[in-house]
Amino acid sequence: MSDSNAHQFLKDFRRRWTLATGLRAALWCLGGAIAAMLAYALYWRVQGHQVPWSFYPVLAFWALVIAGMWTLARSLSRREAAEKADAHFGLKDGLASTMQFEEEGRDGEIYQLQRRAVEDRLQDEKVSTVPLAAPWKVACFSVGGLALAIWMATLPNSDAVQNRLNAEQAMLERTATVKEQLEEAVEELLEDLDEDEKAALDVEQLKSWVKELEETKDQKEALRQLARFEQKIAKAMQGLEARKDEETLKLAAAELDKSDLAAARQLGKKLDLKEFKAAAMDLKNMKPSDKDPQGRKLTNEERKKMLEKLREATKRMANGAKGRKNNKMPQAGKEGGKEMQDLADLLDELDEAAEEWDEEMGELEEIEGEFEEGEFDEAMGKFMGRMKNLDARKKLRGKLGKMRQNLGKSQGFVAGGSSSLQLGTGGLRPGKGTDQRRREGETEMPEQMAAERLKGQKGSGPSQSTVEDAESGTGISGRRSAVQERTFARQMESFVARDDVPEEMKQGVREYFERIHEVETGAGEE
Amino acid sequence: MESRAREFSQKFALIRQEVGKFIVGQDEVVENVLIAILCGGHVLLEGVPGLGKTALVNTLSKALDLQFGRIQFTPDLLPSDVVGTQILAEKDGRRDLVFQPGPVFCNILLADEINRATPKTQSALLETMQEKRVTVANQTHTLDSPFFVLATQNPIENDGTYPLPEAQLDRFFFKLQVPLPSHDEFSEILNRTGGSVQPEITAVANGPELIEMGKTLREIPIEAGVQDYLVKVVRHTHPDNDKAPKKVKNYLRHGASPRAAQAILAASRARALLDGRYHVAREDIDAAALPAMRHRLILSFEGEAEGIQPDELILSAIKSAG
Repeated sequence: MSDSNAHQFLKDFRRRWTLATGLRAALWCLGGAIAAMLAYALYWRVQGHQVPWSFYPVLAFWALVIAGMWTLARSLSRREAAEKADAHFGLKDGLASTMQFEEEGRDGEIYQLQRRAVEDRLQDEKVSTVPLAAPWKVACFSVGGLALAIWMATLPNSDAVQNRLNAEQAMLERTATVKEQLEEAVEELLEDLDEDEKAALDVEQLKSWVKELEETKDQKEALRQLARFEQKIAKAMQGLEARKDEETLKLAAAELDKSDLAAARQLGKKLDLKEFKAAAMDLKNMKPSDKDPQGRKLTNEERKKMLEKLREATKRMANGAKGRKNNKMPQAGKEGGKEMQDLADLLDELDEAAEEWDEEMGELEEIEGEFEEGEFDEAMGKFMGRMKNLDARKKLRGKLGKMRQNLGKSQGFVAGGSSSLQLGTGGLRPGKGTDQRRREGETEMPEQMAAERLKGQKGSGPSQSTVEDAESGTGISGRRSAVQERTFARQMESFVARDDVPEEMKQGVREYFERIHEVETGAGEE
Repeated sequence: MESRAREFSQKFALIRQEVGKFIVGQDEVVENVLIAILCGGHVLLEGVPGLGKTALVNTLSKALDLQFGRIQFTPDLLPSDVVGTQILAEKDGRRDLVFQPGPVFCNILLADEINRATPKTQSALLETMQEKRVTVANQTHTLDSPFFVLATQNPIENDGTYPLPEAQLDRFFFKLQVPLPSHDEFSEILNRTGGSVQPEITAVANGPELIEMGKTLREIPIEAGVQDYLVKVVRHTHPDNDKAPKKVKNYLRHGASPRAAQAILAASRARALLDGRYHVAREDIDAAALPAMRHRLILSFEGEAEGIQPDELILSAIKSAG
């Protein structure tokens, strides 16, 4: 054996040792991974699920990675390998000593003798005697465990789990449908808004609420989301309330109703019906102008008469509103970041402007000159704006109310109360039609079929109508809601008739019941 | 070197063979005594009476062709009885003080039952062992080389004995425990000694050869890792060492000295050469550690009380160092 043979022997030994370590590590790690696979498979099977087997190769991959890292970490240095070889072949520190003396550069007869003696000894040794020492029990367990894990992976879901998964998938689809239809409904609502309504509503916020809805497999979560959305809508509707203004206008309407003037009563009626925009236009039309609709120039006398009518209306409205001046009920809110002026003040202002105009007109009659109407126009403009705002809020409340109804339908759909969801008005929206084909002409039916269609098979088909005989006094009355309505009406009337209840509270109660009636009627119509 | 190594092994085998003619069994004791002699060390043999301790030393002295001396230690033995004294002698009509050498002036000294002498006498011998010279009346007398002391002591019958102090025990290279022979060995002892013919021992080696053999074994190298192991073994006998085993911490008061490490290394070299190796191995150290350290450890009170044997503690130190 040459001098380098000790090194070669050591190199071979290290390779063999690394192989043995790697094999052991791989088998142990794979054994561990397979044990984990079995536990994983059992975990899923116990719950009745099909085993997601894609986890298996991941585990095996990581087991091999760990085995590789372990082998690298346990790889021997030259010195360690020499010591291991000494221990394995019984060299009594011979190889380690040889390597060490060589590294230290020791030279001399004794060192040569030492090296030669060790190399002579190594001639009889074979690296292949280093056992690979595979943990056979672990290997057998791995093979058996792997077969079992694969078999478990082939088993399908249990019926209960399959049903649950189907239900979850259905819920996912339902929530997707709900979201899609709500988005469409919101889009429709937004398209339907006029400028005044858009100004009164935070459009982006409404869109964001719909976007916040998430598709989910969890029915409870879906219902929670819809409930949260409904709460937000309700809050938005509450924000659009202008009860104080409406109340003021209601009182103004009552006062106008007492007027002898037909135009004033007409105005009062519109206010009572909450047709605020139309009422405002009527009031505007009562304003005296230079010419009549035919283009004839009006005399001052005629204009004065018109102004008197206007004064009658404004005065009554202002008088009616006076009782509400100090009311603390919520009013129309803010406009342009500022608190809105009290409507009663606005009506006062309008009446004062009309009065001033009236006085000016009397003076001008004497001097036969022109009169200024700018102050009145300014007050009228404010009033018109307020009326438009109120009108928009009222309409928005109605539209948001529909949105709430849609949410209710969606909740019913998600809860499984209905099998389909149709949030739109029904049918295709204008311009969204896809198929305009029609059957033209009439296809003649075969004679026999026509006869069957006309005659049917008498006595053989199931009845299309059923007659239910309810036992007297034991069935559930279908008129319960109607009775409740009457009860509520009676309660309201008795409450309103009481003397000890303040007028403001009576008004609030009246409005509440009227609103309920409106919503129910609206729902009934749809 | 190769030839010297071969000669070493052959000579060693020859001596063993010659000793083996008279001494039955006790292979390990014989080997260790020879190793100690080759390393220039002294040996303390411990064993009950009748095991052949004295016979071993006698046989060795015959086989080695060395001058042999024997002192039977008794309580009334004086230092001068050991190292020698000045006597008034008449020469050419004049009376003069002349140094009369004591029994230590030999190559192999058997100090029989050394623990029976007073500490004063013991220390006179032990000083001689260390210095290998004697000073009497301001005159120094150097002993012949080689000089080995093979002392014996009896572990029983301790009444009236003076146990050797630790410092003096440290001067012994090895402390060997002579065991009882086995059944077969017993029979063989009877066969060899019961007849009319006694085995004849011839000298197979002399002093200079022994010195040469000692030089040869000192050339055997030790690898750094193995030397590190040796240091660890010795250090692990110290109870204040963090890595010392629990037993050592509990039952030892003092561990082995660096002199113990030197003895182990020298003995390990001899063992390596006898094994046909040219390097020291861990197993040489393990084998040398017991006889080299067992008399150098000082047990604590707990160790004494529980009857702990130093060998047990040395083995635990070896285990923890490995």
